[in-house]
Amino acid sequence: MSGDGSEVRVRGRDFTGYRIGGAIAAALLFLALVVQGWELFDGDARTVPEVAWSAAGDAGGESILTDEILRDRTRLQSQRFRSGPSPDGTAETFKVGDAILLGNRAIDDEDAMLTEIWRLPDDESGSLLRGSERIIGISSLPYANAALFERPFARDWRLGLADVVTHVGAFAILGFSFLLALVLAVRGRVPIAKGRTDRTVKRFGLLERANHWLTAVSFIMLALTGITIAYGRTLILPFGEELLGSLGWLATWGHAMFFPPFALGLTAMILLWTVRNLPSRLDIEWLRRAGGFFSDDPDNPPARKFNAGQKLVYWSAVIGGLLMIATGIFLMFPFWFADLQTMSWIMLTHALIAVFLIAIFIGHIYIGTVGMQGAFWAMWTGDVDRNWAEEHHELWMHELDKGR
Amino acid sequence: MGGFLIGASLSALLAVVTYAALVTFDVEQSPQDEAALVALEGDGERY
Repeated sequence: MSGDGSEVRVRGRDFTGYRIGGAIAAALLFLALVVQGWELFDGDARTVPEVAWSAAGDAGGESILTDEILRDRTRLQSQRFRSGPSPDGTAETFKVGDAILLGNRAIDDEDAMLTEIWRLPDDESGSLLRGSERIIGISSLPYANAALFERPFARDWRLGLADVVTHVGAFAILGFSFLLALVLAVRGRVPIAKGRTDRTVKRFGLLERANHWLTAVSFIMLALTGITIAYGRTLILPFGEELLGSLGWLATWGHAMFFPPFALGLTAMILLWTVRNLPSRLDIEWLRRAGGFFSDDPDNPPARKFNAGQKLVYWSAVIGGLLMIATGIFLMFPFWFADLQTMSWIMLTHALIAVFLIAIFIGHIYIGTVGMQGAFWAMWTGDVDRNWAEEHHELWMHELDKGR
Repeated sequence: MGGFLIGASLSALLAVVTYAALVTFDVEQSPQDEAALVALEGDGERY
């Protein structure tokens, strides 16, 4: 693949090892997506705390159902199961008399346990079933939320954060990764079509590279700690409560600790790269031809130092990063600047932007490493192959040549 | 690789400095929390 002869043609599908790796990754990610899809539609009421219930005892199945106290308990337990007034409480075990014990093991068919009074609620149980209302009382405690007794919006918020954002996020991250792995498997790498030469050009200086890695390392740490906070119960709890506790503690601290380096890196990035990332007419043609990424032709759409794809990544980092910093500051100082309602929306916004930023930067990491031949060295050594530069940043190469 | 080492080290260094600052200045409490604590400690009989 060496030499600069025009007869050399490297094709994406020549990278067999990368394509096999892509196929394996795609298969694993597809499996993860199927599991995630199953989780979404398996009927679990995930935002409702799972107060599972059952009846056990030596009084015999018939007599259990006729027991008045047991019937009341059953009704209350069922109510708790559906509406979940106590998300933090542990499922209790009730002892009803000597013979009957209500455990917290789920029964197979809960309908059989539902009593007549549950299906046709009287006034007493009807009051349990009514819609929730916002109730604020009076409290002598000098704390704004102490008097807030019931807040229906919190359930919408909990649904939004615990169900919608986490599921959308998992689909966005896993789904996008799956598509990239599939592209690698089918298309192979974006090649240096004319082959590598032994000549390089300087693409990024030490300051640019150091700042890129300052921001990148901080972002990855923030993403990993954030994922631990958001998905810890799903991803870490199966390995033990102690591990979740330890990693959760580390993640909570780590998430705050890596915010200043990220903010510093982003600020420097804005100063270093904004001018070269301003949109231009060239970007339309570049986007129309998808950067030539799906063709092995060396004649890619022309670009200056940054092409439209890199500009999109840059502006995602800047706009998304600034929004994450702004919302993050509110979350680091709860109730300093915002009330409970505003805090809820800020947390939801923070989580939603985070998952999309993670997805975008998985794409960035992909194209900067396995996805494109020769791209990684731009940020590692700072020098890129001359053919790579001519194929992907033709106008920037002309600028360099003129300057010589 | 030099750029990576500088960037990663700076990130780690700033993270440690942030940890020290957060622990030293104990910024976890909101003004409302502090007001509540002052009220509780200052007038124990009442509560």
